[in-house]
Amino acid sequence: MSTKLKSRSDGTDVSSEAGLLAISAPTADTWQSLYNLYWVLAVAAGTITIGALVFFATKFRARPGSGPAQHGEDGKIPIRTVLIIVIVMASVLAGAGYASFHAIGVYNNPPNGWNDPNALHVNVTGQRFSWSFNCTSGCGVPAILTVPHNKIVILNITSIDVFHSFGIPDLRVKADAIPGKYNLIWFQVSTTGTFPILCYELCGAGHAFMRAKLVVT
Amino acid sequence: MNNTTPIAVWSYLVVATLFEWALAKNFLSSTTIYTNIVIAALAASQILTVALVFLRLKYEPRGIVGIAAASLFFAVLAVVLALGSIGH
Amino acid sequence: MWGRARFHESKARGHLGGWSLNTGWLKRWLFTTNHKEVGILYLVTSFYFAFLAGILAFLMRTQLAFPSETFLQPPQYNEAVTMHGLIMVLWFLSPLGIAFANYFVPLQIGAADVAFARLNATSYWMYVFSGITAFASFFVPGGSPASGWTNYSPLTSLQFSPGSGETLGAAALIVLAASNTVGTVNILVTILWHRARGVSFVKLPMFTMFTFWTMLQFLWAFPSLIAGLIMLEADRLLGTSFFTSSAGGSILWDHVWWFFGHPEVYIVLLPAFGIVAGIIATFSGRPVYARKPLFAAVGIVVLLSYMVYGHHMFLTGISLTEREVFTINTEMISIPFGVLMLSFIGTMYKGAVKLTTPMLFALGSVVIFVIGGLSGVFNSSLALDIALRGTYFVVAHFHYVMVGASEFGLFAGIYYWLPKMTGRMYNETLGKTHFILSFVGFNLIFFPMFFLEDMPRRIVTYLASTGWGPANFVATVGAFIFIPSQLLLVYNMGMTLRGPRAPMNPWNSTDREWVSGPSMPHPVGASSHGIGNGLGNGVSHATSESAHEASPLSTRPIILCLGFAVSMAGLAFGLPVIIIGLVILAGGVFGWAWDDYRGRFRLPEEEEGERWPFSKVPKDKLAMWTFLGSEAVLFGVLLGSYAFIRVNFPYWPTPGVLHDINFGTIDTLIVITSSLTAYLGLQSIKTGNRRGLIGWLGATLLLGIISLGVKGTEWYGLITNLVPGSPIGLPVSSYLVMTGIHGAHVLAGLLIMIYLMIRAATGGFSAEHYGSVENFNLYWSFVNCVWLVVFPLFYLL
Repeated sequence: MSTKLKSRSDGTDVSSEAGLLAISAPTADTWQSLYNLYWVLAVAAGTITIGALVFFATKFRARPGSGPAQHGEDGKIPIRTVLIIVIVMASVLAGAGYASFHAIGVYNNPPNGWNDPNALHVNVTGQRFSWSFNCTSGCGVPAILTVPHNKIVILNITSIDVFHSFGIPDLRVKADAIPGKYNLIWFQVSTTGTFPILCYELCGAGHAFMRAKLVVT
Repeated sequence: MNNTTPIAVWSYLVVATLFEWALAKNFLSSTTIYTNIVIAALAASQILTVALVFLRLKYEPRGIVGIAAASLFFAVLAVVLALGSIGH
Repeated sequence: MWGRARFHESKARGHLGGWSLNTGWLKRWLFTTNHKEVGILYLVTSFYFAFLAGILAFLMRTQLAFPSETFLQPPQYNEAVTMHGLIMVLWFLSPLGIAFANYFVPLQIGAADVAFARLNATSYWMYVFSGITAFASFFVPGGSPASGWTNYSPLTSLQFSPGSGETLGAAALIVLAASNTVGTVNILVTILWHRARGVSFVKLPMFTMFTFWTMLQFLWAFPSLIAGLIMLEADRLLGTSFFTSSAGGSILWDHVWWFFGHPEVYIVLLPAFGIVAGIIATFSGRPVYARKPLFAAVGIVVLLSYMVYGHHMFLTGISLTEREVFTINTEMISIPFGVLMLSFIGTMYKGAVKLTTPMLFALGSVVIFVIGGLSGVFNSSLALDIALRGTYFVVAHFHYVMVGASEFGLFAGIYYWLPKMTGRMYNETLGKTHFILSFVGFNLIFFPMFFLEDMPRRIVTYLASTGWGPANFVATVGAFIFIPSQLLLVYNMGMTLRGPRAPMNPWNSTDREWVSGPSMPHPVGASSHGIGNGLGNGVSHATSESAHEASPLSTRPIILCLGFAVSMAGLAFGLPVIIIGLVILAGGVFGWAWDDYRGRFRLPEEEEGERWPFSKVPKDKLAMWTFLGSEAVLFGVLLGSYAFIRVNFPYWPTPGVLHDINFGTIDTLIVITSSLTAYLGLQSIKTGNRRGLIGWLGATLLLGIISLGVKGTEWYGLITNLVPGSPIGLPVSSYLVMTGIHGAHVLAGLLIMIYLMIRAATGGFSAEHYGSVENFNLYWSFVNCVWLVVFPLFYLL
């Protein structure tokens, strides 16, 4: 799939039109499907619950002229209703959880493993306030990471000062950049284009300006 | 309540401490991992004894024991959840 | 200003009865220990803080309305976003819930006041002074804390946040945490011990029931915060490296902070839901639906809330197993909330729903919670969180649950209870207008943020090319509607003071607080003789209004709290300030002890109501055990942090290298023996042997001093071996901090012992009356138990 992407004024490309993803990357695809599933479930659950609330509040509206209502005694414990709610919720959540675990499997398992000799291994270092990229094959100048399309890219992310977070929103990948720790992520993009890289954890006055670019050739 | 029980408890605590000391000083020949487990178990037994007798948990109603047990649970939970995150 | 207006109003209308002008409204409000007055103090103060934090939000939204805006500079923006979060969560929402707890829990359970009246005033004044300290941080060099309300490390370290703002902010938080701990013990004991006959646990009114569960969360969550702040201040002031080395570091802070932080957000939510539950029942004219499952559900929420916090750490690189566990637990916590929704909505079934302002806010709270809670399920997924973490989706989620669900619920409570607190009716049209503007404005601000999943949090500005402009603009428009509309509430509250008289039970509720008449707190003139009590209070038959006579005034709480806050602020301002603070603190404590010694504030025994499961337990013992419960978590987190660091640290010294095992063993033997002597002292006084008590206490005191001496020698050895200029290594620094905190507890015990010995020597205790000695024993043996963990952990393993 190689759709022509629209460009933005800052040199990056629009990766999504009207909420649909125009690029193709396993991580992004997986994430998007999971996200859509959760939206469907959430809208359904929300509509039912809020609908019930609005329905009850209007249907059982006090009629004008009726006297003050009495509270009455507590009824029997509605075990059946409670159990139904619990079981329904547990089942839906179990399904959602299962889908999530399946999705994380994609994130945790690059196609040929983390030591793939054919992948592009990049060391990413966050600092206040820029991202720098380092790999044996010369893939980046400061703030720009250039990778070939269809290539598996494995990033080893850390920080040399404070807690940052490295994210490429269009590819739906992100990992925290923590001093002393190394977090691995992978991605593979089948479309060419330029995509923003941003910092997702407050790191000081320059947090908003800690931007980089991913160029896929 | 006569004076025997507290002194008996105290004696146990002293003996246990000395035993821990001996283990740590490697006066008793045993391998390190066993040493640490035994020391930890001794310490736990000491705390239990103090709690039951000096803190009188043995004689308190269930509500108090509940507060103590729940608090211990959450303290341990914090430690377990933190330590459990180490590693991939 | 409000107080003075009310004073004159009320006096003119004869509310205050035989009130002596000598007391003066200033003296009254500064020194009160009456639960209703303390409640009002909390309420008014929380509004001031909301106002401050609201202005910060206003500034932030103005800055973000357009791309590449320069209205605020980045450092200012970071300060604003940090303080907005801290103040709103900790100094507004929580205290507003506590305000209602103070005012209405005693009324709802039929108690005359809270369990410990002076302690109540203490928790209030600690809250106020902590807030002033936090606000003062704006004016110190370097400005206020600017690392986000979450205070992530190492951004909060001295290296990256130079200047005293973060130090001062952390100090303020410590004082606030102390305030909450004191308040928690107080309200818990009130609910457990002061219920009138017939008020069994299952029959607890909704607000009290939810407050009970909230207090349990307070109890075990805040100690984790305190532990973290202690270590943070040690890092900043003493050069330790708990959160800056890679062995502890960011991850350790995450654990310690979020173990507190996640229960904290339920702490903010649950009291509001208690109000909502009660209001829905009242305005449907129906009993609460599924009351017992509701009770259990909230309990399950409390339990689970400690086991879900890892969802804030999904991207930090923790083990996959932990991430899966946290995903499952977080999803599970939705289930009891589903039961809550069932109960709220089911209560309206076959009812006669009246959409008054309180009901509108209550229902609005539920609707917004459903949306907010569902968005939480998105964040609970370890996979979805990869893209959502640190974005405005999360901002939308938590504002939905905290502002929408919690704040709207608390507003519902204000309207609902205004007639009770003031005896007058608010303006219904203004109230409904406030609701509509708030509801619309709120959704305008935060719903667009669900679609800003790519926008990072806490950024001062963004480029136009990102396309985030329109959503941000809409959000700002919403803010310009929502924030000013809150003035309608304040205006309405002020107008109510001159409003029409309200009937005794305007809502026809069956809850107990409405059964007695509308109540302005009745102050007590200088002529009243001690009827309040630090140890006990209240007259039986507490349903009659006359029994809610105010506790007498006491100057000790405010002085004590001032001293405490000043000494903590001294962490940022230097040793002289610390010392001044400690002197004032000592003055307050001595005055308090003197009052007790003189037998002021002593009350006749209260008629026993419902006390299950603590019927045989004296009130102060229950309070001491509750307090020890929180201390257990404090030490658990401190020692757990130590263990965490040790596991991660590559070259920890083997046993015997850093600390002399023999010294430690001797110390342990001394500690054990001091537990025995203290216990024998207790046994003596139980048989009436006062001399024996003094003797054994003296022995314990001596042993305590010796053990501190041994510790001091070890400290001396370690400190003199430090190389000036180079950082203190973790093995030494962790030892110093942990034993320092333990030592401080020992020192406090020694001071208490001296007081007890003086009391005993002057005839204070007897075979029937030895409660304080017993409570001291509990404290002392607990502190010794902590040593029994410290000793093997540091010296032997």
